[in-house]
Amino acid sequence: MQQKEKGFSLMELMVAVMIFTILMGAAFQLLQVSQQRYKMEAEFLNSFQTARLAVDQMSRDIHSAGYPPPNSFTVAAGAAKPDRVAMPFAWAPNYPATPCTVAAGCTTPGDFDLIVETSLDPLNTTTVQWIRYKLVGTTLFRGVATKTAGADPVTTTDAVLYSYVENVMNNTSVAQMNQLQTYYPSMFPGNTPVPIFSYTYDPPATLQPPNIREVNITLIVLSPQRDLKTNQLRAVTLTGLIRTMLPTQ
Amino acid sequence: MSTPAHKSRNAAQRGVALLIAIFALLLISGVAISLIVMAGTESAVDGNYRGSTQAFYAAYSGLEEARGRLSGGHPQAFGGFVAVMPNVLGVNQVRYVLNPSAGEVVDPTNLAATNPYRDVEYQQEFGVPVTSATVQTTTSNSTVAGLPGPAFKWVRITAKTESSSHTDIDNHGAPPYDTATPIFFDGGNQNKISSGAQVFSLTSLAVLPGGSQRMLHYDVALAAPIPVDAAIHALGDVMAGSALNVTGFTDPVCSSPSTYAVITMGAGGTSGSGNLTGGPPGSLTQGAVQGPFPYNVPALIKTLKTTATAIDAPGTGVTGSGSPIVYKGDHATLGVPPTVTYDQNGAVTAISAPGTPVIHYSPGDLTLGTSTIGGAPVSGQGILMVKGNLTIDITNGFNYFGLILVDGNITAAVNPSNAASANIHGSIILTGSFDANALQNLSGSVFITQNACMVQNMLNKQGLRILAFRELAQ
Repeated sequence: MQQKEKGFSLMELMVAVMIFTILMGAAFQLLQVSQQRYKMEAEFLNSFQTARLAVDQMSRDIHSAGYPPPNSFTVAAGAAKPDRVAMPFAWAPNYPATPCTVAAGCTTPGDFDLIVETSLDPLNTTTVQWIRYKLVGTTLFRGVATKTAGADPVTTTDAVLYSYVENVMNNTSVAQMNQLQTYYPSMFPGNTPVPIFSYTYDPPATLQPPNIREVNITLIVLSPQRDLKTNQLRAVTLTGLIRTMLPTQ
Repeated sequence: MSTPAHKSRNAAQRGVALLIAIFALLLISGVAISLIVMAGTESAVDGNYRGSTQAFYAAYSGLEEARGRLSGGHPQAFGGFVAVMPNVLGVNQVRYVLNPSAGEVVDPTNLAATNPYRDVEYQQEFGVPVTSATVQTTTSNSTVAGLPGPAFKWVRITAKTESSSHTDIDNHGAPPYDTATPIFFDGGNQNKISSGAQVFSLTSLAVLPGGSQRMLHYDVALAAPIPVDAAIHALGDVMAGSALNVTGFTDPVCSSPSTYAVITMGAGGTSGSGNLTGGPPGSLTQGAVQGPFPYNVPALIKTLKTTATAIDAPGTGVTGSGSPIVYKGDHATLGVPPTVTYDQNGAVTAISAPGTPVIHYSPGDLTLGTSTIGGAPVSGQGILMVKGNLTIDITNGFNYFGLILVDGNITAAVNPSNAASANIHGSIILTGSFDANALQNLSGSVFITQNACMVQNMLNKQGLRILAFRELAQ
């Protein structure tokens, strides 16, 4: 009797292997799904965090726009050293002689392009910087250049732009916009691009850069991976309303 | 009853089951932990952003509290805690508004590294530690009973200098920056020649319990700085006639220094035999002088009219008519004058009731008073601004305390058959000419007395203007 019980029958072994295989299969499938979900969530989180940091940085830059203002200098000093004076926002064309009209004659500031003027480190430098945010395709670029009297802010900052946030959908292709609309019906009102920057002005409301009082930021960022279960595109929309503190000069 | 072999096989089976259970548990735990970590990261990202934004607005509220309380019109104004016009806050003077939480000590002058609220930023601005400055503190008024106020910890108020802002204000070739001269604001630009009102630097630190902290900075100055340097300061001629008593010797009730009676840029200067007396301390007594006109009257009117009452508002007794519209108030009441005691020279020696000052704005020509004898005199206190010409008929009396600011001419008139009198205490500033020749045969008396306090009290009640804002790196 005891001799018989010393080994496994083939049937026992097959059943045991089968059960083990099923269990292992289920376990590894669970592991794989969780790994994929982890990767996807991590990427989504990464996009979300990048976008949030970008909105935070843009808020800080716009809050500090226009420091030091023209009133910080005597009239003669301001005229002698215009590169040390910060307008809140640079513009093109005809900078700094004649302010253009936003959404009519301005190439910047615009829906997807903004140049902030501020002194980034006022206690250590006397210079003013141009900080530019510009959307090209689906990449938001940022660039910082020193303001120089007589120089064109657009050309100067074009040379120093670097990729800041990728997969920005505000002004994406119509096909992609339609695709996103199927998952987020209210993301693109009127099926038109969503401006990253929109502006309100001090009265009298001439739509010129020196009169900008508030900048409303809307940033739509797409996660690189779709949702595993639903195959849905995953996007996040972040907004911020930044009121500039400086009086209109 | 089992044999030893039986025992051994059962033991092996138990081991496999345990192994599989442990393995499965490990997998499930792994998945669970990764999900928890992810959720934790997301809420941490959210928390950081929220904390940072909260700290920004907490620091901002500190700046706004200090800016508000610097205004003399604020119900909890700083008063003597911070010197405002005409006094000047010294460059080595530091004022802190402290806002500790319950049971907490906030001491920005304790520079130990263990003090989370230490003020090391002062040294970056002024080149010396804050412990070497003269420091006074007060507490915030932002906490409403039962509700915690905003989480700013302190606001520092200092005099702005070139050095503190690292700004070459007059383009003299800095660095080195001027460390000794307080900066002033003349209504348009900042300067180092004490023109206008002093510029204050406000720095606010907010630290949240979670550790988020932000530091923000304002430069602020009185919105409409109007230094009083004469009883009448005109861009055009001043024709005082023979009946006026104009003096730059300040009313005894006000401690401001004396000034000239009249300063004019007019080509003709002053004319007539009016009694003009005065002169700043240290100068010869000389009633009238020619001098520059430092006021940007249109800009001052533009700033002040945002808080002004319309000249024809109910209760003023002034009505407008015609096109372009002109205003007339035969017996106008422009605020409630103070109850005062005069000496024999018509100077105010005491104020027993302060009255109610009001800022009035007339967008067109204005006539106050009437030549028809009878009725109440024209009276008022505050600031009277006229964008056009002002005619004053003193037949039934005219009593005004404060500032008369006219972007045009002033003409005085009277019905000579009445023994009229007039008292103006404060200052008159105008871009045109002042003509009192029509008062030649006056049988009463007209006193125009410089009183910078009456003017300054009104101006100090205006809000302080934000000249610059920036965030300081932490």
